[in-house]
Amino acid sequence: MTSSSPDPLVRARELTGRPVVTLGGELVAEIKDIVFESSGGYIAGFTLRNPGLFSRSRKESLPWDGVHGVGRDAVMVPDETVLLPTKEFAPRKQARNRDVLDDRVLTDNGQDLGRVVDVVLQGGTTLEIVGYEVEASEALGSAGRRVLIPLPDTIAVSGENLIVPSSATDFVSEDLAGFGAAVDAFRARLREGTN
Amino acid sequence: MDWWVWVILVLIVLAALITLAVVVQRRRRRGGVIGLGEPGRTDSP
Amino acid sequence: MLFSQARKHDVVSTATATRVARVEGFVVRPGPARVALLRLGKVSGAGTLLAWDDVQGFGPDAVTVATDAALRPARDELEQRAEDNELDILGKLVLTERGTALGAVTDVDFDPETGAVTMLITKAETIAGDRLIGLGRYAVVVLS
Repeated sequence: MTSSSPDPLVRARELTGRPVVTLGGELVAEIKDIVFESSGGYIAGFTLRNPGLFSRSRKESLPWDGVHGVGRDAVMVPDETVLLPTKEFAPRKQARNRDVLDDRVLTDNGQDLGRVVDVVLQGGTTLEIVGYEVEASEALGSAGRRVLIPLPDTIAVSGENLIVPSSATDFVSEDLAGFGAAVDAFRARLREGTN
Repeated sequence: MDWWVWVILVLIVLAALITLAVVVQRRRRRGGVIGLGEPGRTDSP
Repeated sequence: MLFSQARKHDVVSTATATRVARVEGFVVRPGPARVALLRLGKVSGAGTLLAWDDVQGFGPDAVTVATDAALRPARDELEQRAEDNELDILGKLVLTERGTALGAVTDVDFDPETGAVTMLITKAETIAGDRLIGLGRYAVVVLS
């Protein structure tokens, strides 16, 4: 697999509060939740809230195909017409939708790795979940510290736990700088394992 | 009781209410990372 | 000419040879980047906007108009927002279409003959006028 320069990594919770701005220069909303497809781990879009300190959630959401670009200072959209009612996009009351923050991460042989405090995204034209940031349990030898655990292509959920292959513990990172390489190496290891 | 005792009580109550409002609002504004789709799926092939 | 130089220019009516207003702000529109309207102050009547097309001449010291009838109030929603000072470009945040901030606009270079905007100037860099794709209340948007 060849690639030029790898797509940048970002923590999902850093996107909360980011302004959503049209190409016409109007502020539409702020990002609230990051919403992803459980099956592929790809970002489906965002729920929104009104800007300002004491504001409520908005009834609209931003689907990923409405996004023109995600930047350090704003999420750009062509105009307000790309927004969808949240009812259509991500029904709130639907039992299947779950917030992964605070979930525990378990290996597939039952070892608790810690509590999810953030999610690592990678992307350019699509944004994909490539890792969990956890407050580590003792199993990772650095209890209480924040570490990054790489993920395979598919997110696996069981009850209130997120399941990762046990080999993920060999590729745990301390910071974002080396994490991209750790994800690639981990996924390569998984592919070797199935061959 | 002296009047200033009441003033202090009121200020304490106000401070508590404001703190509560800020905490509640922070919680509501907290963004989540939400997965759409079926829970209970595991990574079994 | 720079907006910083053109601000506070007197607007003089050639019909009466008197000052009828003073330039307070500039409304820039994209496609192509140009000065569309001047926002005016010190007017005696109701008209606080001057369309570029009604400008007779934009000199180093003053702006001339044929008659003070050219000064008019807002005609549509966009002009109303301009009048309310929402669309003044000086001081507005510059965002690229990819969502990166480039700083606030500190000055703008324009052609006083045609009204074309040639350059946006921020503290960190200069941005060619042809990169301008949008201007709204929150930001100026430019191509990356």
